[in-house]
Parts: sequence; C-alpha cells; structure tokens
Amino acid sequence: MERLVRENLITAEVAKRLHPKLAEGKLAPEDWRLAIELADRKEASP
Amino acid sequence: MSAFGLKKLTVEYLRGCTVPFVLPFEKGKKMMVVYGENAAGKSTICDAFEFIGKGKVGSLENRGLGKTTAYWPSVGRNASEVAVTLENTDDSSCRACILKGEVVAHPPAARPQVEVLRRSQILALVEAKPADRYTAICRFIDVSGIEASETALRQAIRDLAANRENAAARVSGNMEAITQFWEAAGRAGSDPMSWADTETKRDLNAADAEVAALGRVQNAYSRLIDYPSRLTAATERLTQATQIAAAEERKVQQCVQTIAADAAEVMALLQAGRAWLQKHPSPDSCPLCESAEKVAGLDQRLAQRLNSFAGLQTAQNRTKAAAAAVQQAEQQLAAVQDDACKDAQAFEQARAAFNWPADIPMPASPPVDVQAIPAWLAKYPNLSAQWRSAEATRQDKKQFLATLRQTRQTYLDNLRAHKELSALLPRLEQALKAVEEERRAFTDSVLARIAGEVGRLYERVHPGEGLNHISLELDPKRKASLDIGAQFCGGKSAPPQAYFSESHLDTLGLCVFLALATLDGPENTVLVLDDVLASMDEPHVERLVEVLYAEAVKFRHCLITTHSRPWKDNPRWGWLKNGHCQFIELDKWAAQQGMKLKRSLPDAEPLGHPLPQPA
Repeated sequence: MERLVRENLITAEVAKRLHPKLAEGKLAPEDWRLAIELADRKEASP
Repeated sequence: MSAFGLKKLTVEYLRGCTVPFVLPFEKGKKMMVVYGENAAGKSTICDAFEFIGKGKVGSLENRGLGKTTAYWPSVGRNASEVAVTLENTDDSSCRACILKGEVVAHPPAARPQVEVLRRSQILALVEAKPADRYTAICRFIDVSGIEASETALRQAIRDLAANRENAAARVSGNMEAITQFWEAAGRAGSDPMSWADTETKRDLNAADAEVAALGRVQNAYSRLIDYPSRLTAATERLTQATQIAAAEERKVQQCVQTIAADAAEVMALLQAGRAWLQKHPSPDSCPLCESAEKVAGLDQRLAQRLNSFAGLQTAQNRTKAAAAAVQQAEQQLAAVQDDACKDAQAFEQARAAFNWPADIPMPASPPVDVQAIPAWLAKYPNLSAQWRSAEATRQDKKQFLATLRQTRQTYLDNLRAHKELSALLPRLEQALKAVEEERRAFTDSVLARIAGEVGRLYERVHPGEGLNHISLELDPKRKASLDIGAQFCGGKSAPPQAYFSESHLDTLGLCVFLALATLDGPENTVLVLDDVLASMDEPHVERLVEVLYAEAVKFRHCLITTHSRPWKDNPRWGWLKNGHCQFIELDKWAAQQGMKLKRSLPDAEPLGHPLPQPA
C-alpha cells in the first residue's frame, strides 16, 4: 500500500481504508477501480 | 514477551507412563538432554509435549494404525485417565486430558506452543514433494489474502480492457452513423463531425410555430372547401320548396272553383240530407224538392259533394306547409352565406398571421361572398397536399435533428469513456505490477531468510564443506510449490537428496526444522527433538550439540532425546561449557514401575545440599 501511495496510484486515505481488506483478500475489482479513479481525480484537481 | 520457564511436566497414563511420571526442569537452564536406552520412555516424554501442545501423539502416526487414539492410554488404562500437566516457573500451569476423543487443554490460553521433530520426520521437508514442502512452509509466506486481492485487480483490468474495447467499437459505430447522416444531408461542411456539431446547435423546435400555424390554416381551409357543396344543397332545397309551394297553391285554386258559394249552408243542408237518408234509405222522392226524378243514388251524390269541401281544407293545409318549407330553405341558404363569410375571415386571419416561407404556398385572401368561393378554390388546386408535404418535411427534419443530436451525444459519451478507460487501465496495470512485485519481494525475502538461516546452521555443523548455499524457491509455473536446492562442489543448484549423504541430509532436515521454528515466535516455543541425530558421526555430533546449545537460548525450552552414548558423556566432558544444559537419564522401563528417572541433577549438586548456605 505504501508503494501504491508513493506512486500516486491511490491516496493515503484510501490506502488506510483498503489495507485490511487487501490483506484479507476482500478487495473487489470495483474497489480497485474506484480507489485509482479517486487518486486520478485528486491528482487532476489538487 | 517470552513465556515463563518450565518447572515440571507430569505425565499420567500416556503411552509408557504406566504410573504417573514427573519430569523436573532446572531453573535457568533452557536445554534438556534426555538420555535413555531404547524403550526407556524418551518418546513418551516427547509424546507428552505433543499431546499438551498439539493435541496429538505423533509417534504413532504413519504406522498403519489408522486412528491412533485407542493406543494413547497406557496398557490397562482408559482415555479418561490420560493427563499431561505442565507447570511453569510463575506457578501457572496447563493440564490436558481427553474428553470425547479430543484433547482438551485447560486453561486453553495457557496451552504451550510446541514443535516436535522426530527421527522419522527429519527428512520430511527435504524429501517432500514441492507441494507438500510448500504446505509445511506456507504459514510463513501466507500471502493468500494479497493473492486474492491481486486476482480481483486482474479481474478489474480484464473488465476494463473489455469495456474499453466495447467503447472503441461503439465510438466507431457512432462515427459511422454520423457519416451516413452527413452523406444523406449532402456532405455539407468540411467533415462529418464539424457538420454534426453545427447541425446539433440548431433549435430542435424552430419549425414548431410554423407547423402549428400551418395546422391552423389547414383547419380553416378545410372548412372553406365544404362551401360549394353546402351552397348547392341549400339552393336546391330552396328551389324544390318553392316549386312545391306553387303546386299546392294551384291545387287550392282548383278546389275553390269546384265549390259553390254559400258553401257553409250548402254543407249543412247536405249533411242534414245524409242524416235523413240514414233513417230513410230508400225514399220515393227527394225530401226537399219532392221530385222522384233523381232519387236513385241520392245518398252517394250527397257524399261526393261533402268530400269536395274536405279536399279544399287539406289543400289549404299543404299550401301553408309548403310556404313554411320555402321560408326554412331561404333561412338555411342565408346561414350558409353567413358561415362562409365568417370562415373566410378566419382563414384570412390564419393566413396573415405568419410569414410563410417559399416552400409553403398561400392563396390570396378568400372572398367573403359564398358564391365566389368555388371559383377561389378552383384557382388554387392541391393546396392541402402541398401543405401536408411541407408539414411532413418539417417533422422529418425535426426527427432527423433529434436522432443526429442523440447519436452525436452517444458518440461523445463513448469517446469520453474510451479516453477515461485508456487513462485508467495503465494505472491499474501499474498497481498490479507494484502489488505483484511487493508480494514476490516479501515471499522471496522470507524464503531467503529461511534459506539463509538453514545455510548458516548447516555451515556450523559442516564447516568448510561448501554445502551451505541452500536455496528455497517458489515454482513460478505452479501454484503452492516450493523447491529446495543446494550447491554441490560449486556446481549448479540441485536437489540436495541427489548428492548429499544420509547424515548430511539429516543435518539439512534438522536445520530446516530449526530455521522454521525460529521464525515462529521461538521465545514461546518448546522445541522437542526426538532422537534426530542417530546417523551422525562423532565430530558432527559435537558440532551439532554446540549449534543446538547456541540456538536453544532463542526458544522457551529445548528438549533433546537420544540413546547415543557420547551425548550422555558430553556434559561430563565439559563440551557444554556455559552450563545451560540439564541432563536427564531414564532408567530401564518396566510395566510395574513405568518410566523412572535415573539421574536428573548434576552429580555435584546433591553433594551441595547438606552444606550450610552462606549467610
């Protein structure tokens, strides 16, 4: 998750929220898409 | 925080324990060597640790016994009598017994963590199939959650790639449709899209007012075109009524001529005569003139004359009715004229209310005189058809514009979706790459740490033999498959069982076991090695004892059983110079006395007890 945040693929907030689900294998395809879309939007409008 | 030290293990009626057996642990010593000849009960002590720690008795497994629970109690004892109690230096304890075929520890939280390696299992990890080796080691590299999340990420990438393909296909389809519209519209503008951009900016409802006005003109016109027939019908009705009235008048005149003057007195006389003739049906003479000349048929003649008076009355009534009909026909004709005047004005109002374009033909103002309307209508034939055509053209254009607008919007939506997906996909792929790399890096680091630890331990037992380059690698082509390799004589990495001697493999197996046990909370683990060093020669055993001695401090406790004589002598010879090893010797086992300690404390220690303690 740290690397994903470092590479601006997801935001730190989202990383914090997703971390337990990532470890438990409960991340759904849609979770990934939304997480990266959110980072894109944040990057587009800082 | 490490668990407390061990104080005492009490074994009751488990395996060789035909009488309760107590194994005391020396305070401050983390390693115990249990020496005993064959069948002295060494494995029972190991079984006891496994019983309380893992709820099973491993020494009976893989002997073709099937379910081994029935063989756990000592001979003559039953399962309910079996118990193992481990007491700790902090006076806490844990007791395990069998309840309904299951080993139950109380309190459960105090159950000790135990790892047991037996002689029969020493090569299990080295010689196991890669999948079984993975199973044994996977708890240290368990990234199944991450792998599941990776799978979801891959699925997201697949979904998005499919969506992007669909969006591209839709963009292409929409563009094709717009091009067809453009061609149908005469290829105006520089290209289909710029044309569509311009067209869709037009007001979709621009022609609505025109169409509504045209509708009003059509309504007014449709009323006007009825007037020729209405006028003809009204005129004919008046002509017919006038003719009927004239005929009726003539009939009245004829009746009057047939009737004499003083008609009323005559009628009364005739009616009186008929009444008399009713009483005298066959008179000889006329009662009025007394003549017998025309007396025959007198009654019939009286009746005829009376009838001629009734015909006059009827003729007069019909003349009145005919005159009324003429009047009504005149009124109807006048009404048609009035209506025509109003409708002509209404048409003119609708016609003048709009600036009509060239493709909508408009007649001159209609005449207010109904008689002139047929000529006016004849002057402008096919107006209705031309107007319907103009209206349909406008509706078609509106529909075309609406369809074009919708198609262009769909094209833009799909184009945007395609662009967004094209931007998002590489990011998801980058995320997948990062997750995969991190997962592999983690797994590789754990495996490298295990392999490094195995190599380090192995090198200490076999120094300078060049067999320490141990590797553990996940098979990238298979899921959950772990290969073990070692370099031999500087050659390529190969399975160690291909080149290693039996004792080298034993050492390797033990080193793998120790390395794994070290990873899993060693400070809480009681390590039990049951007769694992039988194949080693003396120099290697000495070095292994030193290794175990050094490693034991990492664990909560380390218990080694052996029947090898040098092990009995080692403590005496001072090999274990730091004095942290407790030596236990078991006496020969007998059914009546069970397991029995022959020696448990250093030889010098009993001598110290009678001496006074320093103040």
